[in-house]
Formats: sequence, structure tokens, C-alpha cells
Amino acid sequence: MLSSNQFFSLRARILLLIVVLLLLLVVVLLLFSNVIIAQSFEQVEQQAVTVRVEQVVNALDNSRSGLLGLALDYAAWDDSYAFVQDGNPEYIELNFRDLSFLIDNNVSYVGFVNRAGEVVYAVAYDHVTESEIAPPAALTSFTGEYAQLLQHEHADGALSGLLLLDELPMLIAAHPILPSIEQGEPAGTLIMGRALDETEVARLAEITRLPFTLARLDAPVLEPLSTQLSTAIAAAQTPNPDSLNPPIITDALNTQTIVGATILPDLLERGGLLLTLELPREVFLLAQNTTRDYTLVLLGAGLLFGVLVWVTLERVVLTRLLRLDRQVQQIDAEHPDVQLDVSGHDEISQLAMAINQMLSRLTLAQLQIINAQRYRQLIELSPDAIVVHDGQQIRYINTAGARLLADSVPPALIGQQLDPLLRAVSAKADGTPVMTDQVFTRADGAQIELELVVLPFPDHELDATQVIMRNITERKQVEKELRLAKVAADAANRAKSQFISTMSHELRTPLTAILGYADLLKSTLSDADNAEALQTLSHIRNAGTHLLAIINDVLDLSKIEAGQMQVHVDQVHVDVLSSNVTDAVRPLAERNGNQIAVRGVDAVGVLQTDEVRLRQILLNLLSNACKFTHNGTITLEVTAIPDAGPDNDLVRFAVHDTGIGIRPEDLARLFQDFVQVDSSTTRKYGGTGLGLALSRRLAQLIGGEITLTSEVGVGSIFTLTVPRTLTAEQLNLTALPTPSPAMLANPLSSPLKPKYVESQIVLVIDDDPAILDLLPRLLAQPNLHFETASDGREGLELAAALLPDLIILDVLLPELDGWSVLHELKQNSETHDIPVLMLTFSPDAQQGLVLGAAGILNKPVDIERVAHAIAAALHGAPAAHDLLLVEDDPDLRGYFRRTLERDGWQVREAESGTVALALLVQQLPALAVIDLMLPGIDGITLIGAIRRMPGGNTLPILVVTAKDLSVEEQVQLNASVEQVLRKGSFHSDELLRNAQALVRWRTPVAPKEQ
Amino acid sequence: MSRVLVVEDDPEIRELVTTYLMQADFEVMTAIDGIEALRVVRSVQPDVILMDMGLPKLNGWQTTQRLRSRHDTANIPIIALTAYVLENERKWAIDIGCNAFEAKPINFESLLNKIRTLIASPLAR
Repeated sequence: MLSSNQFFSLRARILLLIVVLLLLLVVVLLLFSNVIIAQSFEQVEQQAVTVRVEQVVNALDNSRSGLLGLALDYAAWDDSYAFVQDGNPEYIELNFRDLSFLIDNNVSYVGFVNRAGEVVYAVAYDHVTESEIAPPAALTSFTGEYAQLLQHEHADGALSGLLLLDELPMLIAAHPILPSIEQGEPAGTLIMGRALDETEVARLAEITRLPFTLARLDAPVLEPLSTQLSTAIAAAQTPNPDSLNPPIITDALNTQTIVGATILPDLLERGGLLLTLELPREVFLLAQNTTRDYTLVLLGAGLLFGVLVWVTLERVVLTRLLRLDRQVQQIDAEHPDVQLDVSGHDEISQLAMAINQMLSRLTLAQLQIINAQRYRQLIELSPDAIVVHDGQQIRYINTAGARLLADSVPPALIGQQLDPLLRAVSAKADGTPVMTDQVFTRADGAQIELELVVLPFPDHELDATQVIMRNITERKQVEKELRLAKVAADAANRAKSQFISTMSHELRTPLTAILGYADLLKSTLSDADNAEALQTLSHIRNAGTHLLAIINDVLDLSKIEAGQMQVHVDQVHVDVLSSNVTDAVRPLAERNGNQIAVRGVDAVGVLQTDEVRLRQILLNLLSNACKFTHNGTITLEVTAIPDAGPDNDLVRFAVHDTGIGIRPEDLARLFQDFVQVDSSTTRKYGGTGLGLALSRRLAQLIGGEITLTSEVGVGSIFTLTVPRTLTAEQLNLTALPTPSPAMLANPLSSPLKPKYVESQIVLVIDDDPAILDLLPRLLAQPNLHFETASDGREGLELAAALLPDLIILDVLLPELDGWSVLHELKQNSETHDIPVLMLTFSPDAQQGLVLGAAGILNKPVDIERVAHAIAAALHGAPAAHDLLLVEDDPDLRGYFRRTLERDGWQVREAESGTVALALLVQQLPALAVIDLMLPGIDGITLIGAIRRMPGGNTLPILVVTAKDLSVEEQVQLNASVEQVLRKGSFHSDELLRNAQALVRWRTPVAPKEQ
Repeated sequence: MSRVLVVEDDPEIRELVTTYLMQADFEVMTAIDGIEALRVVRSVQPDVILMDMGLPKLNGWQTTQRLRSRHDTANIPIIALTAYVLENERKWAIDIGCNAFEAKPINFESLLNKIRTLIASPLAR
């Protein structure tokens, strides 16, 4: 609220400021305008008044000049000339008798003065009283200064002006009287006067429309105003005394009236007449009005401007500032994750944006604080033990850590010495985590296995280390158990396969003889005399066939049980199939006098299923029906059931018979293994007792089922229902039991194949029976067969016949010695390439190498050395430390190479699978280190190829990969390579350790234990 | 007269097969294991070899493989005559180079048919 007040006061201050500034502006403007207007108007007024005064003066002057003109007219008239000389009264009678001249011409005085200065004639008229008056005294005598008026001394002189007579002021014009031809002396002076009396003043005022007054300055009592004006005029005249005309002054009497005045000087320079003109102050009033209007307009404009400024400021700045302020006030310090409204594009919106950014940063900062708290909480509550140490003491330990290390709580351990074992693992400076496993002995003596992740933990200037520990004792235990379980399961699976294979083989072999000889015997006894013997043979034959059927069924059952029965889905044409099976059982049916009928076959069309299994089931059901029916009918009815299951049609095969039927209580037992309804039936009807059980399993295998309805004495209906299309899902569902992962990874992991396919023969030629006995007995393996010869001839013969993979040849042989044998072997193009190892007592038998021997073995025989020599000869003799490194990343490859070379390995590098294969063909290394992610041929393909190469099967492979492996890939890799290391999570030490271990582990041909 | 080499370790069966083949007018030679088969095959020069798979020393698959890898025996027709009748075992026999497969117990009619077919076929020689 405080700051809101401050903002309010800001508003008030701005308002005040605007008002004051406006007032000041208005006042200054008014002052200036008043001064300017007043001065100009005053000048205008003065000029107007001056002009008016000048008008009056001009009017007077006009009057004067008119008078002068009139005087000239009469003065230049010959009659006047004559008159002034002769004084002829006729002239007066004619011109001035009735005073009309004076009245008409507004003349107050006319005087004729002759050269002698005598007034010949003078007349005066008072226009006020309209009567003739005596001429003024001064104009009857012309004495004194008035004598200047007489102009007859100057022929061309003329005088006119204002003459202040004692009686009244008068305009005077004096002109010398001359003859019209202007010859001779002026005869006298004509003087005319026009009195400036009330009438004349009124007339002039009338003409000029200016109400002026005239006052004599020589009046005894002058009005104060006149005194004042005359003084002012005198003062104004003083600076410029030479000026012809007296100055005109103006003087404002009051707000209504202004007076203009000037002095009309006396002709005889005896003071003058004060001309006063009083005028209304029109201009002044106009100025006043103008000023008032102007002030009002100014004030109005100022007010308007002020309001506009205020409103603008309010809108543009203040309101938004206040709103901003209000919004900022409303922000909760705990939750600054709000944003202010931003309007406009100016400093205020920038301010709002700046505040918003600040708020965002604040929010972020709070979030970071919260996150930090959360992380701390996470660390605190982490099930993994986390310890930060400075190399000696524990700086931090979480609850799990305290519990793991000492069954304690963190406060008790912080500051304590950390176990040296855990301290010893130091972090890498570059921040990559060091991962290692460690066996740790707890305070209570219990040994636990720990998985450690060690990281640098920069804590201010301290170089601390963070150790994350997980107790993996249990996990390791479980892993071990799982591994053992898997090994056991694989072994069991192999054993099962082996058992099935062996049992099949071992049972069939004697049966071959039994059945074969029975048939052979039968064919030789085709004599009626031997009927009894033939009957016996038939029994043997039947029993053998029965046994074979049982064997076959048992094998099939076993294979299904072991999950090794393979299903091959293909197109099955039902019509072809049904005619096949009915043809097959027809002899059997006819033996019991049965008919076979087929229904609905043509309408069904094609199935997608395993034809062999389907046929097997149908044959079984049909032959069963044939066996248990006599003189009846067996019907195979095929029906399509559309839309029976989810997105799949079903097809039903029903086998009806009119046989003995089955009692309800026996129905359930019927599908069990080795069950017939009555054990006596076996004897009576034949059959293995396995047929139905097998059929049911087979039906399940192809996604179907077998049901049975039966009535004793009427017959039975066996119904096989199978999906029209056998899908992969159904295959999985039916493949019981689930094969182990190892089998999935390598479906041919049956122990049979490799040993059959890969075999090598070593021919030993020696006359020493001990050697011939010893070597095969100690070194023979399933894939490594030893053949022996006791002399050179036999040896050569065997070599040529068998083309063995390796010959071990004694030098000292009877008759043909070893060197000769070697020579002959090398001569023969077939045996030329067979490596030969020479056996000799001679220490300097190295010459044998020149003759083509692959190696020399000294007698007495060291069986280990022989084993190695054989392995080397057969597998391409890898150099002890030859290592093939397959890695596409050049940096990583360089790093691995340097690391490995420091440890004594000879590293051959390949940047791709193709290059690797080329190098492998040249020479098998002792170890291959392979990255899985390779360009072109990928790692897994490369490994597969290596395993198929001669000798590649036994090459130790170390896989280094950054790839996230799927479970399947892991299983596959584990089955095909010796070791998998994850990039980024192992130490170079680990690589070296594993590499060494893998090569040590490999014993090329292990001698059998004795 | 066509010559058949019977490679069979079981004496009874060897005898049985020999009898049947001789009855069918074949000249019969025998070998009791893979090594002997390799040793005699070049001197015998059989038209057909009946090869048991479960032989001692070198088994039937290995022997077949070696016969196939030698130029002078590579083209001799070989019939696997064996009690190893499981699917894989049949497949391996064919994969390794046998031309035909006959299961034990022996259906001689079928066996003789196969022998005659192979001898008659251009594959023989």
C-alpha cells in the first residue's frame, strides 16, 4: 500500500506540475501579449489621434489658404488698386456695401491699407451675432508689431496665418494690392481676416467631424488640462525646435477618452492657440476586448492542453504503471511462476517483460532449489549406498551407505576414515565413471560383493570422490544359480535330444536285422511244406512291425514333449489328402470287411497347415476305426466351419465308424498314453495304445483338437477340428514345452551336427607300438581321429587312401625310413600339401624342415608339446600374441591398439568386417576383439562367418560394444562368443585382463586326463 | 554287373544287405568303418555306396564329406542307409552329399529302386 501511495503521489505530483506549468505558460503569454498588444494599440491610437488632429490643423490651414486666395483675388484687381489710391466710395458701394461679401465668404474682416499705412477702408462682421462690428483695434492702426502685416513694400509678398487679436483669434491673409498687369508699385495692402469664433469652430468641426476646441495660451486663466497639454507640447518641441510645425501630442485622459493637442502658432510669434481634440478611445477598447478574448482562448487552450497531457500520461504511463505495480504486488513470493500481462511496445512493456524474465529466472531458481532438495532427498533415500570422501575421511554418506558399510547411521560415520579398499578406487579426471566390482568385508566380518561406480565430486576447492555402491552379493548368487540352471537346462535338453536320437537308432538297428532276416527267410521258404514255419515267421514279422510302430509313436511323443517336433506349414489340398489316407487304410479296412466312404471333401478346398502331421492324425483315426469295426462302414466327413474362431475358419474331420463303441466311463482314459479300453484289446486288435494320445498331441501341435462321441455297440465318432490357417501365434501356443533360450538362439544346438561334420584325421607312422597306442588314446577327440601305420609302406598307402589332415612321421622306420616317406609324400600331388610332423631322437633334425616337414618333435614324446604342435598344424598356428582388432572408430581403435600393445599384443587392425575377414584368412589370430557396430558386415554377421571358418570355431572372441543389446542378441552372443564388454563401462585393465584370460583359457588340443 | 560298396559296422545287417543285394544281382563289397571305406573305395570303384551313418572311427557323414571332397570319389552316388532317421539327421545326410536316404529297418524294395535309379542316372560317372 505504501508504494501504491507513492504512485498516487506521483500522479498528484504530475498533475500539480502540469497545472503549474500551464498557469505559468498562460501568465507569461498573457503578459507578453498584453505588453505587445497594448503597445501596438497605443501606437495605433496615437497615430489615429494625431491624424485627426492633423485633419483639424489641415482644415484650419485650408480655411487660411482659402482666405489668402480670396485676398489675392481682390488684391490683384485693378478696381482695388485704384480704390486704395483714390478711395472711390463707389468701389466700396459696389463690393462691400451690404456686407454680403463678408457673409458669403465667411470673412470677418476686410481692410485696405495704402502705402502710407493709412487704412483706406476697414469693415468687420461678427458671424456669431450676425451683425457688423467695429474692426478690431489692432487692424485699424497697424501699429507696432501689426505693421509686419503690411505687405505693400513687397510686390510679390503675401502673408497669412493665425493672428491672436486681443478680441479673438483670427486667420489673417495680407496681400499687396497690385494692378492686374502687375506693373508698378503695390498700391497698398489688402488684409482679410476670418475670426475663429464659435461659428467658425463649429463649421470646421462640422467639416472635419472632429469636435475640437481652441484655447488661447495667453488667456489669463488657463484650464489645468490646457496647461498640462501645452507644457507637454513645449516639452515635445524642445528636442526639435527647428521643426516648422509644432508637435502633436496625445494624452489618454481616462479609459474612455483620449485627447490630442497641438499648438497653432501666432503669425506674429506671440504664443498661439491650443488645439485640443477629445476622442473616444475606440482602439483602446478594441485592444481591451482583444486582450480579453485572447486571454480566454489562451486559458481555454491551456486547460484543454493540460487535460490532454494528463489523460495521455494517465493512459500511456500511469495506469499501466499502476497495473504493473498491482500485478507485482499480487505475486506470491513462494510461487513466482506467473507472468505479467504485457501490452504495447515501449519501455513499460519492456519493463514488464524484464519483470517476466526475472520471474522466470526466479521460478527456475526456485525449481532448482526444489530439485536440489529433491535430489538430495533421492540421494538420501536411494537404496544404493552413496559416499563422498576426500581420499581419507567420509564427507557425506547416505542412509543406505551407513547401513551397508557399518549398520550405522550417517552422522556416526561422517568424518570417519573410509575403508582403504573403497578409498583405493580413484575417479577419473575426465569425469567418466569408473565401474568395478569389489569384495568388501564389513565391520561385522560379513563378506559382501559390491558394485562400485566411482566419480569425481568437485566440491569447492576440495577434490572429493563420489562412490556409489550396490550390494550385489545376492544378485551374483542369483546370477550364478541362473547360469547353473541354464547350463543344466541346456544339458538336459541336449541329453533329451541325444536320448531320442540314440534310442531311435539303437532300437531300429536290431529291428532291421529281425525284420530283414524274417523277410529273407520267408522268401526262401516259399514252399507249402513250410506253412507252419511261414506262420511263425509272420508272427515274428508282425511283432517286429508292431515294435517299430511303437518306437515311431514313442519317438514322436518324445519329440513333442521335448519341443523338438517341427511343424512345417504348407498348402494342403483336402481332396488329395483324403484320397491318400483312405487309399492307405483301404487294405486294413478290407481285411475286416469294412467299407470306406468319404463325404464333403470337395467343398473344403485348401488348408494352411502341416500336411505330415494332419495325415498322421487322420491315418491314425482311420486305422483305429478300421481295426475296431468289422463288416461295417467307416466314413470320413470333412466340414468347413466358417467364422468359428477369431479371424479364422475351422475345418472338421469326423471319422464315423460302426464298430464296438466305447463305454462312457472309458472315454476319459482313452487319450492317455499306452491305454486301450481293455488291455486285452491290444492282443485282440493290435495297436500300440499310443495312437490316440499321439494324435491328440499332434492335433494340439497344429492348433486343433480331437473329440470323441461314442455309443457302445453302435459306433464312435472321432472328430478332429483344426484351423484352416495355422498362424505363428498358434504355433507358439502349441510348441510345448517352451524351448530353452539356448535352443532358440541356436536351433541346431543339438550335439550331433558339429562332430559329424567336422572331422580331422591324423595319421601316425611309427614302428613303436607304444607311440601308436599312446597318441590316439591321449589325443583322440570326437572330431579328431587317429589312424596308425607301423611302417613306411603302410603309411604311404594310408596317406594316399585317407588323405589325412596331418601326418606324424617317425624318422627311424624299418625298411623305408621317415625321410624317404616324407620325400614320397611330397612327390605325390595328392599328399603334397599334407603337413608332416617329424618324430626323432636326433637333436639336429632341423634339416627335415628343408625337406618339407611342417615341424620337428623330439623323442621321447612330450604329449603337451605334441598336442600344441598338432593344434598349430591343424588350426593354422596362431602366433601367441597375434590379436585382430575390428573397430570402425579410428580414435577408439587407436586407443585399444595402444592399450593392447603396451600389454605385449601384436595388434592387427581392421576397420570393417570385410577387412577383418581378409586378415583372418591370411592368418588366424590368437584372439579377436570385435566391435558389434560395423559398417557393411556387422559384428554379429562377422562372428557367424568366423565360426564357420576352418579353425574359426575355436578362436576366442571378445566383443566390445556400445550397442544396447536385446535379450535375444545377448543370448545369441553369449552362445557364440567368449566375452562381451560394454564400451564406456569398462576399464582398459578389464580389457587386458579378459584378453589374457581368454588366450590362457584356450588349450588348442587338450590332452585327455589319464 | 553293378558294384555296390556297403559300409556297415553291424555284421548282421551287413550280411543281410549283402544277401539281398546279391539276390538282386549286384556285386557287393563291404567296409566296416569310415576309414576302411576310404581305404578301399578307390580300389573297389563302386557304382553305388550304401553308407551307414553311425560308423566307428569316421562316421558316415564325415566319410561322405571326405569322399565328396576328393576328385576321384566325388561323383560316386551315395545312399545313406541308417537308423538315424530324425529330421535333422536326414537333412544332414543330404546336406553333406548323400544322393538318397533310406531308413532302417530297411524296405528293400525301396532301397533297390533307389540303387537302380542312381546307377541309371547320369550322375553316376
